[in-house]
Amino acid sequence: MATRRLVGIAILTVTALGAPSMSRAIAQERSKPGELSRTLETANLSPEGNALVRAKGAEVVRAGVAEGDVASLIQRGLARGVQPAELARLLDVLAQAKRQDLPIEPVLDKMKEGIAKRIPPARIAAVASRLSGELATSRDLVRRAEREGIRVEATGERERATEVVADALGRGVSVKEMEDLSRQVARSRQAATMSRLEAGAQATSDLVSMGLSPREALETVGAALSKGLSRRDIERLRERLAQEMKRGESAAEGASRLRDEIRAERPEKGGKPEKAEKPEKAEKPEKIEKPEKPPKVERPGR
Amino acid sequence: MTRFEELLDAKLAGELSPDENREFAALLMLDENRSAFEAHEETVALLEGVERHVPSSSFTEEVLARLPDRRSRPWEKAWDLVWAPRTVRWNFATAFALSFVLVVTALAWKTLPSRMAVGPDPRPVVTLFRFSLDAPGAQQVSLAGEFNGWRTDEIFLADVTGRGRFSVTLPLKPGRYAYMFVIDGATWMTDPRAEAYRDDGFGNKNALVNIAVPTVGHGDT
Repeated sequence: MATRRLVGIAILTVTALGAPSMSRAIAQERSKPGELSRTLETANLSPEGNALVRAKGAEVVRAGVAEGDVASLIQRGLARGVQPAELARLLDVLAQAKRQDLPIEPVLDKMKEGIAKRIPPARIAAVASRLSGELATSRDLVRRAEREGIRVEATGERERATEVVADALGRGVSVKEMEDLSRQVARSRQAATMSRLEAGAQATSDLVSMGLSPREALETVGAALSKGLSRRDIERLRERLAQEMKRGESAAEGASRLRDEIRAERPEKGGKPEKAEKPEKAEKPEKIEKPEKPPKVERPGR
Repeated sequence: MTRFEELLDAKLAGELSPDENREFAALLMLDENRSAFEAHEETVALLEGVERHVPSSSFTEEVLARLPDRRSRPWEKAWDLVWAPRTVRWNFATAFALSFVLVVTALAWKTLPSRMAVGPDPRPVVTLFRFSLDAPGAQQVSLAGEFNGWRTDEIFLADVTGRGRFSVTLPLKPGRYAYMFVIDGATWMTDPRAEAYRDDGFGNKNALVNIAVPTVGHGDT
């Protein structure tokens, strides 16, 4: 009996002492305080420059950007010889994006890319600022899409769609064209999901990058959406266009043929048919050549 | 049992009807019955004078625990372990400690998931993708892209043939990544055999790799 009591007391003591330590450790791990200070302490900066970067860095952290991300950006910038005033400008752009509640990863990534490529900081700031603008437009577009009935089904879908739509805007697809795409997705009722809008926007970007005009790309993606092709099949439009182009056709000709093929496909081949539109009666679908299987790569160590 | 004994039982239980009461009084006239009744009354008085002990709620369990162990089969022991009723004793110290543990656990639970990547699949499948570049004469080729935060000093390609064909295989999660090669730490070069390209906004073109399907899609640039 006495032993049991002792064991109980020991467990209670360990719990009481260990729980606050664990809680503190988690909190410390979460915020990693001092990372910014440590970076600036080791930096070879003038007192004024150090104070400027420290103040801007703290401002960005207060805006909600993780301290580790801010410290890492500053560290890279300083390593590449970016001046404090130029760093402050970059941090301003980052803070502004965060205050607008935009996904900051693409902005941060663009800054890292620019710094790595030794692009003049003023240009990096301009490009990052333009990207923020595209993200803001994209975020509004995604919100409108949601109001028009496009459902968000999983965590992070909204953010991913915002990034992908912004990417499409950056490739020259107009806001109106993106709205058209959004309406097409919204019309598909059961399949009116954010992940489908994301796939559609991604496919549009892909096709534009392959040489199609935004209008042609949207028309091709629209054909796939109307036909009720699955998300995976929409993502495969790029591969299918590449196949068409391998036959020696231009991007525009290939896309035209691809649209004809999609319209002629049986709905069950591509996925669930949409209720809004009945499958067209058309000639027998042309068999699509399967893409070549790339060589298998072994995992290291196997 | 005699009629008097029946009536006596009922009398002590307070359940006699008026007629039975009269009958009982008549029977008490007999000395033998009277002395029996008086003996019962004395016993009742004696019991009422004794201090009453209320057994603890775990009295039964404690008594049973002190009984000699019956040799039962293992499955019977397991059954008893699961189904035997138990009394939980508590005190404020235990309750406080338990509450404390629950609160800390809840806080930890709330904190930890925010540090983890949120995604539909907790264990995203990676695809091995081989990047390669023909760069005869190059001393060193590295790879920088969205998958490594554009670090140029992290992923180096190896020229295993010694003929300037550099390559590296990377495990990539599903997604779309922009990348470029860096030759000898200074010259940025777009992959001439990439599946797609995108302007980087700085006057160059990034190559794009698309890892669309987790289970297939081994590729070779």
